[in-house]
Amino acid sequence: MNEKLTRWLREPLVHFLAIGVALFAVNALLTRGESNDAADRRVTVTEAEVRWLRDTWQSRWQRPPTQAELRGLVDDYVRQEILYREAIAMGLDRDDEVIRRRMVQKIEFLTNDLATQVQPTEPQLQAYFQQNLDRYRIPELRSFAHVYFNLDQRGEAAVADAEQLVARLRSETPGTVRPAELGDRFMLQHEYRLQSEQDVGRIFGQRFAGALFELEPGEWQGPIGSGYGLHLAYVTEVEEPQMPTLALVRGDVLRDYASELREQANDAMLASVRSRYTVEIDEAAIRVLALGGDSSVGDR
Amino acid sequence: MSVKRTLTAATLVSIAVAAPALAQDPIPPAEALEGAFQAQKHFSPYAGRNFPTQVYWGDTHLHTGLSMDAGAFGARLTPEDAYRFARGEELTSSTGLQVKLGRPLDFLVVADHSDNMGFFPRLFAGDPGMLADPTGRRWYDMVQAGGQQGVAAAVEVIVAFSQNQFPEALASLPGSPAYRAAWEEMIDAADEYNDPGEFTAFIGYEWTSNTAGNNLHRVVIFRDDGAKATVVEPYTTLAPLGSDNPRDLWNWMQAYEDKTGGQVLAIAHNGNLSNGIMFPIVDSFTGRRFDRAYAETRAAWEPLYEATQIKGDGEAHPYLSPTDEFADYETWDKGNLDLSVAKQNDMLQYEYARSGLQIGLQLERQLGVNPYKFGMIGSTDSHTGLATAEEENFFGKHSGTEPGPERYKHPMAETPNGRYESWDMVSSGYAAVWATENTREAIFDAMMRRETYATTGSRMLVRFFGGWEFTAADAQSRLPGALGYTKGVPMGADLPARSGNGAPTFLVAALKDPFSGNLDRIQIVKGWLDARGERHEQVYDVTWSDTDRRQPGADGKLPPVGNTVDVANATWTNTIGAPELITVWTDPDFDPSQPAVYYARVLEIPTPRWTAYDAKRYGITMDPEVPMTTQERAYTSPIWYTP
Repeated sequence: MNEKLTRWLREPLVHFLAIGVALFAVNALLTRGESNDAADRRVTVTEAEVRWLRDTWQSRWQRPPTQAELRGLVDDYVRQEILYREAIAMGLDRDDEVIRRRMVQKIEFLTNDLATQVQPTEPQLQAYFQQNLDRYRIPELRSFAHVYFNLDQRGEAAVADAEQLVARLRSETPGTVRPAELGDRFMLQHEYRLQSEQDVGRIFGQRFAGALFELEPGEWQGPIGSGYGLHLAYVTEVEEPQMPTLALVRGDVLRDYASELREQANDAMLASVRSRYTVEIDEAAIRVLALGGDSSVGDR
Repeated sequence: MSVKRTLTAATLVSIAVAAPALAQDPIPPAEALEGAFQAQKHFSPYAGRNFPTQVYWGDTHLHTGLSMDAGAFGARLTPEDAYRFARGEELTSSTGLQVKLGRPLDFLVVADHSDNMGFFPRLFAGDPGMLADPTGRRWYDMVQAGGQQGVAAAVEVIVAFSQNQFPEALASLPGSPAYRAAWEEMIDAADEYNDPGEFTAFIGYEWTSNTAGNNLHRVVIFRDDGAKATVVEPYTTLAPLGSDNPRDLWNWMQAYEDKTGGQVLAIAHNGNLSNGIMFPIVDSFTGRRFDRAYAETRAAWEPLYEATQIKGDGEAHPYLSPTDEFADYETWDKGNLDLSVAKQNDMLQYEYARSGLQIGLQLERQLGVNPYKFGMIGSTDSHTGLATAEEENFFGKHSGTEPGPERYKHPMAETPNGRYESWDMVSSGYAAVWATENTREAIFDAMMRRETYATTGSRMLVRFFGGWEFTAADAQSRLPGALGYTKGVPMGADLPARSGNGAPTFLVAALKDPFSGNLDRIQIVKGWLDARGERHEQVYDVTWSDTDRRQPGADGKLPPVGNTVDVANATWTNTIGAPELITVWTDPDFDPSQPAVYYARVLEIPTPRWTAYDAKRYGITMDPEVPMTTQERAYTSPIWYTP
């Protein structure tokens, strides 16, 4: 990932901005709730609150509330506000799974938003691309033809048959051989163009794919085993691994970059917050209490 | 990879522009093509064939956290995650497990429920409007508490919805910003990950008509990109914006096509949970007989049926097909979707693909058009964001049933009326599509012409052609695909007009999945009407493995192929069965005056079921009633004969 951006993301100031907004809100409420100051025991309902209550109602019922309904909403809001402050003051928010999760979610929403708002500059994108070249590398591609031997039909003779044919094919003029007419019928293709090892593995199985990508081109070889039976193979063409230009894979790079930014923002936030804590874990408890743990220890 | 992809895309464009009619042209005989042979780079004399030579594998029915119920079950994965996973990337599941497909898929439709799309993201975010409602508040608390409470909330949500008791204040309705945002997230993810030539990401959604708990769901798939799909918002089932009647969905589809010039299709599923209204004779909404318009419209919009998935296999039922020893495969027949009404035997005929195809013939006789002229696909309907149908890598129906030592014995779902056991979940299925290219357009068009088949998760290759001139020698052909198109029509088509006095002939072939079991047998299932219009069916074993030790007995039944599964180790050997089967079959009971429908069913040898892999992996012993082996299978789209 781009160095500047990494540094920016790790910048404590950024974290404080993000986390601060969330903490400040909660903290402000906490302090107010705990204080006995008369000013903090005042509930003010301004036009802004009334407007918000009205809009929420309207989006739900598709019409503005009547005066009586709006009055009811305000009364309910006041009731909620008072009880909320009292509950905070009594510490009812602690050890409550629902509230814990909600707070965690809020902080995650904040960091996610931060990451999605970042539009990488051209040099940043270029740098990200350079650092992750491997992901965009075009793998080695091979074209090949093959002849199939059906083990179920030929039984043990299949190996000898295949070896006999490969010897014959090697002596024949390349170009006169028609794989589709040799060996046994094969319902997939007898020839494949520019496939990666992974592509071949999906069709024939990994064992065959691995062997095929070891073969010297330009000669009939085998037999090689696959999920279907035995094959003779002839590699016609090898395209070495290549590196694309950024322009060619720009869409992929942008997509991966945004996705990674989101993850990194979350990880960076957690790491920075966590660094301010000392975490102690009872490792023995994990071993004992997990499935298949040592039942001689503990009370299971 | 990307260079290759770019080139393919460019080629595609030029083909699409230059030769849209090519696929329709008659196939030249093989000899005529031999001149095209080029010695150096191309061995094949048949290069440049213009019929589909490749099967593309996909899942047309996957839910993510955007679906109301999936979100409730704890799914956190997004449509973006779902597409990444399907094309082969490794992910962390909603329950924190690392997961990757054994083999990537070629295409995927993320089909989140249109009703209350984005409901859970809103509930999670603590939308004040939702929390103001007492039910909303309670669900919020349950979901936040997670675990079994979250599952209980999900079930409540589904039951409330299907019993029409969903609180109005909670509904996430089209036209609202939250709904729009969820829809656009789906569209963006599909457009972002659609990669012509490499991986196809379809835009889609599920219309979840579930009145009184009777499943009439349809997955809607777009051929188009976001430019067109964003013009509309998905059709829902609740009035006044939506409707639970499929006719209204078809009107919506027509309106979409008229408005945008785009194209959509719909795929129904789980007739087994519809309690007799998936393939009915009488309109369940009006109580009246169908008219020709119904038949025409349904046939036009619904070319395919999802015949197998996690909530039961829907090809055949043992009550309807008592002499078919393979009809009772992963049967789910307790009742409707929420188990509010128990199953009655007389409902079954209107629920299964096999009987539905025959009822279609009956309706065609009355109405002049067959409304149930569908091809077959399988899909997962998984609610985890993970399109898994591999037995050894099965992530279950929803996030509460992701792998773990306890999962098999927790109920998959429990309503006041009964429960679905988790061990009953079927690790099924996938959609196989014979298409010319891996693009939205080519795969969609293949679906429209029904050139597809269903599998229960295995990826065997199946060819099925019908015609009047196939001969036994054709089964020896080196290139049955080329021959099939030359002399007949592929799966999903109508037999050409009868020539001569003979019976229809079928070329059928299957090649095993290199990662799965050998093949046991190929069967052809025939359904037809007699002179009085009564339905009949017959299953023919047309070719099988191990012929040296297996011949039909006096009762006409072929002995079972055997079983090599070592349940304790969750392994098997391919020492029985065959890697490939092929034959030409002529209908021995053909009567030219009777309409008929034919499809092929391919069976694998027994292999370990997902429960066996779980038992081995976690070192547990499951109850004796839990099945430990399975016989994976494929169902092709039918070929129809009309007198």
